[in-house]
Order: sequence, then C-alpha cells, then structure tokens
Amino acid sequence: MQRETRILILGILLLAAACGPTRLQTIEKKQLAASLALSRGELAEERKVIASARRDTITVTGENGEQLLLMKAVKDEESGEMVAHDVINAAVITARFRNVAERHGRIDLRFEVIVPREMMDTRWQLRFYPDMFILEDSVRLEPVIITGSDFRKAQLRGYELYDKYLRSIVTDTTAFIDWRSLNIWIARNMPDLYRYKNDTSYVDVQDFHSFFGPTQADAIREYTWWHRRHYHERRWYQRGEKFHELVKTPIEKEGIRLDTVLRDIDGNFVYQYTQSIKTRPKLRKVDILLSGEIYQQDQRLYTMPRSEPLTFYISSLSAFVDGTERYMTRILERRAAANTACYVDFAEGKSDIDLSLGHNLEEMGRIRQNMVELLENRTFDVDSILISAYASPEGTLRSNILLSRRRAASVADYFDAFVGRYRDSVRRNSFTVTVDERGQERMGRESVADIRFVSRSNGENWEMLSFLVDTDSTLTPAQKNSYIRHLEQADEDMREEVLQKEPYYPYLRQELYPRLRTVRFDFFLHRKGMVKDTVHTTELDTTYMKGVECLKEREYEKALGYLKDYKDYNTAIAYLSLDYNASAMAILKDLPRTPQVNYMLALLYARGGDDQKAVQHYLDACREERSYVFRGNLDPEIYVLIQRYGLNRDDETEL
Amino acid sequence: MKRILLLILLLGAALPLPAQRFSLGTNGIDWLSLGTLNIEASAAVSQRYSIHVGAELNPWTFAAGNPEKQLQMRQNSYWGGLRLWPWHVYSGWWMGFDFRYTVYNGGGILKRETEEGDAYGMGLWGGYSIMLSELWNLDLGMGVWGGYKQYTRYACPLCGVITDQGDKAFILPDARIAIQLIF
Repeated sequence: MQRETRILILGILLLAAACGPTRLQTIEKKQLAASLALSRGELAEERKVIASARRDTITVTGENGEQLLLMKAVKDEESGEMVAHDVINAAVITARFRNVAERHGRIDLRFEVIVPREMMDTRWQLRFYPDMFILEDSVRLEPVIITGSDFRKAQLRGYELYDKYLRSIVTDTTAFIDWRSLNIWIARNMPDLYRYKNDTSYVDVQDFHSFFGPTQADAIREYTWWHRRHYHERRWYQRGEKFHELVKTPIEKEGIRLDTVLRDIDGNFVYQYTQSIKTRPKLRKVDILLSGEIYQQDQRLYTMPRSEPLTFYISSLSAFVDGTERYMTRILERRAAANTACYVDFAEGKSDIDLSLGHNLEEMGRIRQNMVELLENRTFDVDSILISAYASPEGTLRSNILLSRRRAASVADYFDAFVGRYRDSVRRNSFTVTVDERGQERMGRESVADIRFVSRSNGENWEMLSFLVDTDSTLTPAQKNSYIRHLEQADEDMREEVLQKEPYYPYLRQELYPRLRTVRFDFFLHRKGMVKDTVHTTELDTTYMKGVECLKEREYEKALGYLKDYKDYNTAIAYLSLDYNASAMAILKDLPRTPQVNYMLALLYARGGDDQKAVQHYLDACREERSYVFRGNLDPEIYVLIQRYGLNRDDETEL
Repeated sequence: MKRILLLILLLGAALPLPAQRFSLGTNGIDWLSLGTLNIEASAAVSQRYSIHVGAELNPWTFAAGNPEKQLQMRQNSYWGGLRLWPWHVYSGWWMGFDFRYTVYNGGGILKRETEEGDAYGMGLWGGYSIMLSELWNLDLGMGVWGGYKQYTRYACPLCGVITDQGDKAFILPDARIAIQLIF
C-alpha cells in the first residue's frame, strides 16, 4: 500500500513537471532577449570624476569681467529649479547613447551584453551577434557564445567518438600487404633479390625481374589486400562527413569574442565588450544592435528579437581644421646652369668622332637627347654650351693639351651642326606659345636662339685618375700608396714616366685611362622672357595643404608628418588628435585667442585636469561662437565639465 | 683455405639462382579413398601456364575372398593437362583442364554391386593454391570430369554375376586437397 502511494505521488510530480511551462516556452512567451547597455565600468569612471569634483564651487570670469560661481546643480523635481547638489546619483543609468572621442584615429566602443538568467540552461548554447552600423555599412562583430555544461559535454562526446573513428582508420598502406606471401613469392621467383634481403649493400629493386617477368612492384600489387585497403581509404575520405555526423556543433576557437561554459547560473550574465574601430571621414555615429540564437546541439530552438540600438556619437577634432589656402614665396633666378659628362672614345692620338667606336653611338645619342630637351624647354633658353675635353696622361702634357683641345672642338662642331639642323626643322614646323614673367602668354614663332659653343681643353685628367684609383677594388692598398707617392712628382710627364715602371701600370692604362677621356658639357641657360636677374612669386604651399587634407581625412599621423614644421593652429589640431597634449599646448598658448583656440585650450586643460582654466576657456569660446555650446556635448572632456558644473543651462533657453 | 672458401662464396653469389619452376605433389583425398597412391608433377612454362601430368594406382582389395565383405576401389589412372594462373604459377587462383584415362574395378563399399571398365574423358578444374613456405604449397581444387566408359557391372565383388554391360557417357564430381613441393 505504501509503495503504491509513493508511485502515485511520483506520478503526480511527473505530471506536474510535464504540464508546467518549459523554460523555452517561457522565453518564447516573453520574447526574452539579451540586451545591450553602456559599459558600467566607464560610467563608474565618470561618476568617480564627478565625485572627485565635489569641491563645491569654482570661480570663472564672466562676459563683463564679473566673477561667476559655478557649482554642481540638479533640477529640483518639485520646484523645477536648479539647486546645488553634491550627492552622487546612484540610479540605474539607461542611456542609449554615449559620446566617444577618437584618439589616434581610432575609436574604442565599450558596451555590455546582458543575458537574463531565464535564458540560460546547461543543455543550451546561446550565441549572440553584435552588429555594428557605420555610415551605410554594417559589420558583424565577433560573436559571444555561452555554452551550457551539458551542451559542452555532448560536444566533447562527439569529439571523442570522432577521435575513435579516426583511430580505427589504418593509414599505413604497408599494413595491407600480405608480407608472408610476398616474401615466399620473392624467394621462389626472385631468388637473387631474396638473397639481398639481409644484405646491407644497396640494391636497386628496379633492376630485378622475376624469372617470368613480373617485378617486385607487380608482386606487391598482387599481395595487397585491396578490399581492406579500400575500406580504410573510404573511411578516411568520409571523415569530414563523419565529423559532421558525430560532432554536430563543433567548438569554435577563432573569430569569437568569448566562449564560456556555464554550470550553475544565478543572476544575469554580463559580458564587457570592447571594440576598437578605425575612424573614417564623415563618421558621426555608430549603432550597435544585438541579435542571438539558442541552440540545443545542432538544432536552433529560438531566435531572439533584435535589441534596441546602442548609439555612439563620434566626435573628432577634424571639424576644427582651418582649410584656408596657404602660400609661400619663391625666388626665381634668371640664370641657371646644368651640366653633364659623356665618355667619348677617341682612337689614340685622333680627334675625329668615330660613332662606331666603343659606346660613342649611345653616348652621343644621350647628349643629343639632353640638348633637344633643353632646346624645347618652355622655361629656359640656352645661352651657350661649354665643351671641355680631358685627356688621359699617356704622352706629353703639351701634346695632350693640344689633343684634348682638338677633341673638344670636334665635339663642339658635331653638336653645332646638330643644333643647326634642329633649328631649321623647328622653324619650318612650329608655332608656339611662351609664358612671360608676368604669367601672360605670348604667341609667336618658336625662335631657337643662336647657341654659342665654346670648346676648351682641360688637360690631363689626374683628378679623375686619383679618384678611380682610390675607389678601385682590384688594386692593392700597397699599390694605391705607391700611386699616391708618385703624385708628389709635380711634373706630369715625369709622373707618367715613373708610373710606367710600376707593375700595375698596364692595369691603369687598359682599364682606367679610357675613362679619363671624357667630354664635359656645361649648359648656360636663362629663364625665357626674363630680364631682371631675380623675381619673387607666391605659390600654393602644397605640402601644407596635403597636411590639411590628411587632417580632414583623419589620417593624423600622416598629417603631422606634413605639418610638424609649420607649428600653427592646424599642427596643434594634429597633436591634439594624437593626444600629444604638451606639444599642442606649446603651440596653442601663443596663438591669438580665437574661439577655436579657446575651445582647444579648454580641451587641453580638461585633459590635464585643470577644471577652472578649462571652463574659463570653454565659456570664452561659447561667448564668441554659440555653436560651441552644442559642440561641447560631443567631446567627452567638455561634456564632463558641462555635467559637472551645469554649464549652458541658461544658454539653451536663451537661444 | 679461407680464401678459397670466400672465392667459392663469391662465385656462388655471382651465379644467378634458378627460380622454382617445378612441382611434385600428392592428393590427400585420393589417399583417403581407400589408400589410392597418387602423384602429380608439373612444370611452369610461363608466368601464367603450367603443364601437369599425374598417375594414380589403387591395387588394394579389402577383405579379399570374403563374399560378404570384400570391397575394392582398384584403379590405374593417368592424366595430363594444362593450368592457367591469373597471377603467377603456383600462387593463388587457377583453373585448368586435363585428359584422363582410367581402368577401374570397384564395389562393395556402399552396396554390393561392383563395376569394372575403362573410362576416358576430360576434366575441368578450378582452385586456389596457398603458399605455405618457400618449398610447400597447399593446392585446393574442385572439378568435374566426364567422358565415355565401357563397363561391366556385377551383382557383387566376388560372385561374377553380370547385371549390365555396355558403353555409356558419364560425368563425375572430383576434388583435391594436395600437398605440393615446389622446386
């Protein structure tokens, strides 16, 4: 009888359990969802700031020089008046937005994912997906996963089964060979090979054939248990499918923010989420929404409704950039010069130009090209070209000077003729526009002015030889020293004579001397249409404007690279944005107190913790420029001040 | 002396060893058939073919002279045939045929009726050869053999009463479990 009662009671209990709403039903009925909240840690920080500022009042100077007392104030619920208040308000903060400032071109978004207790069950896995909306983009942030202990146990069991499956697969193909039969067969049909079996000497199995032809490879193929091998191979290829079959929901290791295993849950679960994003132009606000799902193994039980958005307003200092164009002064000289050297090979003792010799064709071509570029240059006219030739030291100095003069003259003749031909062709074909010094265009026939060619000899090129010897890698240091000693001989012909006796002379003669026979071109130019020797013009300072552009694009590091040397207002903004406060202060404190500068100073002082100066500068800025009243709410540093001292309250009603 | 030995060894090593291409075997089932002596020799002619010749002799008469109990399965048989080995001679599956001639006199085993005669015909075989060791094979096979026989049937092994006589086609199942020496 007693036993029957017990069974009855048990039955009733079971029935009651079955009838009552399950956890899932409750969730579905209430449409439960995890929620997003602003990070409490950060709020606490703000509260701490407020708490630390509980010194009752601060004094600032008003518009007309009067002293004003500011104190923390709250609106009295009954009277609607502002009353001084220094009690920290401990009410739950339900703000759905926050102002965040960018630092170093990045924004840190901090928020909490709050999961209600009712949603948690050890058999379930909760997956939460925060979505971030920036401008038109939406980005799915890394999910937060909460796994119940039973859910994880089932997952691990799946892994265990899979592991067992893998371990049962034989992957060693030699395990499928019937070695006993193979060995007997080899012993019978390839006795030579079989004899080598216990021999250490190297044998290439390929060389062996059995009496009737088949090789060892054929025999291995024959004595392999193929059906067994195929069976294991099949299992190996099917391991992917098997994984899905046995491990229904794999444990994710990458691309998730948190995967925590919960055993007992009392109270809500809170996860602090921090996401750092790079700023981009026009970024004013970021919305974060949360969606989520409940899983029991691979089955989705519940999709929770999307949460209310959490909004972060981004404040950036790039709005303060002064985009005024900046000019710089440049001095133009009328005269200019250019030069180039070329290596023209001459036959020994000869001065005529032989284009088939050495690199002459290329070298002369290069010089012709240079010349054409100069002749066609819109900015410069060529006055004259000085051609000076050097000789290598072999032979007497006198003859060398004569020779190099003849060589210079022959090069000059060559190019004189070339310019003459060129000028003729230009005269026939072109009609061009030139720009004069006042920036006005003048049309007219292209006139290629007469170019004077001056040729001269520069003698033996000892200077170049010394340089070549010094930098040569073939000559030994002893040889180099010997050369330097010979340099002391003042007479150049004598010097050559003693050098000839040195063992390294053939090297000098063959390798270095040819490089001494150079022809140098000096081009003397003047600016077209310019009569005065120097002129001052103003040009847009492109470096500075690039810096300003970068600031607007919020590429602060890059901007600072361009602006560092200017040390002006925009440079200060770059410093401020990168949190280089001391550098910013050094610039700003000397600038005239415009509203912008005042506002920047307010920011700097607020960052430095000097509330009095910060409020003073902020109010000064607001007085001249009303828009700063609202701007103040966007910068956390100023926002804290506004909250702390109840600034702007009257202004709002006034405006 | 040692040197000579070494030389011999080296020479030996240099000579190619012959592969094992012959077999000599005997069928256990025949032995169980009232002690039929039998032997079969074969030679491999290529990777897949071997030729076989064999003979059986059963000279025994049991309980000779006892009209109630005498029984015998006396015979002389000779055959020659060809086997095909899908992989390699003397290893694995095989099939084959042979031509057979036999002179027999048997009876009194299950019933008293006794038959004697000559039979000639052809056998078809299939089987599997297991390599036991380098030298020994176990050769398993089943087959049928059929042909024509000239026979005389007696009422009993001793009495000499002829019950039937003539020419007749026949077909018989056969099996072998043979042990073979491969050399």
